[in-house]
Amino acid sequence: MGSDLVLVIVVFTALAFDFTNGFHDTANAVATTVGTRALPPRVAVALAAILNFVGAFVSLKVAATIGKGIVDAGAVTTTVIFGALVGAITWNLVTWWFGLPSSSSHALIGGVVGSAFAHAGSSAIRGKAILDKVLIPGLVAPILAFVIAGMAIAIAYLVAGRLRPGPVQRGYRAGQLATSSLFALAHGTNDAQKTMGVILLALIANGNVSADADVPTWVIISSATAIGLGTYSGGWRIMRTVGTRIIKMDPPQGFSAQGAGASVLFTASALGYPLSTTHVISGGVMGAGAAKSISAVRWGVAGNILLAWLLTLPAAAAIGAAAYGFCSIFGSAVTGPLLVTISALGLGLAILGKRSPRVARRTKADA
Amino acid sequence: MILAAQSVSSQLVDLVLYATIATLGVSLSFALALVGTVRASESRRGGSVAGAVPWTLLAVLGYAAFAALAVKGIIVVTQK
Repeated sequence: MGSDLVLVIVVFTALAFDFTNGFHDTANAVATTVGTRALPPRVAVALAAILNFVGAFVSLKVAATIGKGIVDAGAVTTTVIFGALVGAITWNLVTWWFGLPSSSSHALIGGVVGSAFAHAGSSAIRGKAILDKVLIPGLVAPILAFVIAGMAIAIAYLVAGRLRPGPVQRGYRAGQLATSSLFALAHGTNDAQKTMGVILLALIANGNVSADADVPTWVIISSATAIGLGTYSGGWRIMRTVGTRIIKMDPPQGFSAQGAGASVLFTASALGYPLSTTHVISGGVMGAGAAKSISAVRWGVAGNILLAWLLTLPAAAAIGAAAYGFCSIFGSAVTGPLLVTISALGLGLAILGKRSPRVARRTKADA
Repeated sequence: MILAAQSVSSQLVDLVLYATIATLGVSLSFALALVGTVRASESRRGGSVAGAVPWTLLAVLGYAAFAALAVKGIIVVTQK
């Protein structure tokens, strides 16, 4: 009974992570589209939400790959997974608060590493896998996207730069619908499956399904729904950063950033190379701006983003380890995860309660 | 260990090469499609319907190439 309750809490927390993943990464697909006014914000996030939802059903091959090879499989328990999710959710919320686009996948991997380390020590961590699957891709993705987005905008200006601006701007805005849709679809296929993998891992660790079981249908549907709803709720702070604060973007730049990003992402998928959509689109936006003029990029904002990327893995790991450590004070029982969940819900309600009067005032003012 | 390192660096080279080719393809095909669309429209407005034909052809080819690359991307994502 106790272990089943822990499992329920872990599944609930995994879906909460999926939701934060959705609203945190909305910006990846739609920030440039909103920034160049190719689509109204609500339409853009609705489109991204639908494509994220659809993408979650498209392929299940990467489900259950999260954490695989990163930590020793024997070190994974439901409480370790819970600690990892707390680390990832907390870091996603911190970076969202500051409007910084950081990788949700890296946050989850950091959480897994920290929680597993707290549970089983350093022998449970596979350093080589972290280097190959996290650190090298984390370095390659933004640099590659930066360079080829610069090349893409150079081609755009060279070929279409002498035309009347009106039709060109309209044409590139229309093209952005295609590139942002591709990005959203790719995001859904990647990120919803990470949650499916986490829930499957918890079901295996709890003995509910065998190690070679397929992802249950209810897991697929609930994960797709959570990321779709999260995307629709929209992480406006991050969207503002990617869409307008890094560079002042025109439609050809938005198209080039997204086109380069989508090409990098799809090529990486074909080669089985794990890349963060956040790193790719941020690098692409900076490259599209720098190719026009180096001073067009607000390097202070870019520096803050880079700092968030560097901190993601250790910060999520530290929070994950702390969450696991807190839960382990109460032994293997359900008390620890339950206390953390109730505290988080209480904190969330308190924040919502504080926001309500302001929202009410705005509503009255609007009326 | 050495084989694994070679595999990672080989993947990196492939990633850089193919992603660059794909991006240049996307950017060039869409830019050519726009040039064809705008020039064809200008030719038609200027009364030269025959002059619009090559520009229309360029636009169609550009959009077709762009659509082909997008479809290829979807296939890659859905079959990974």
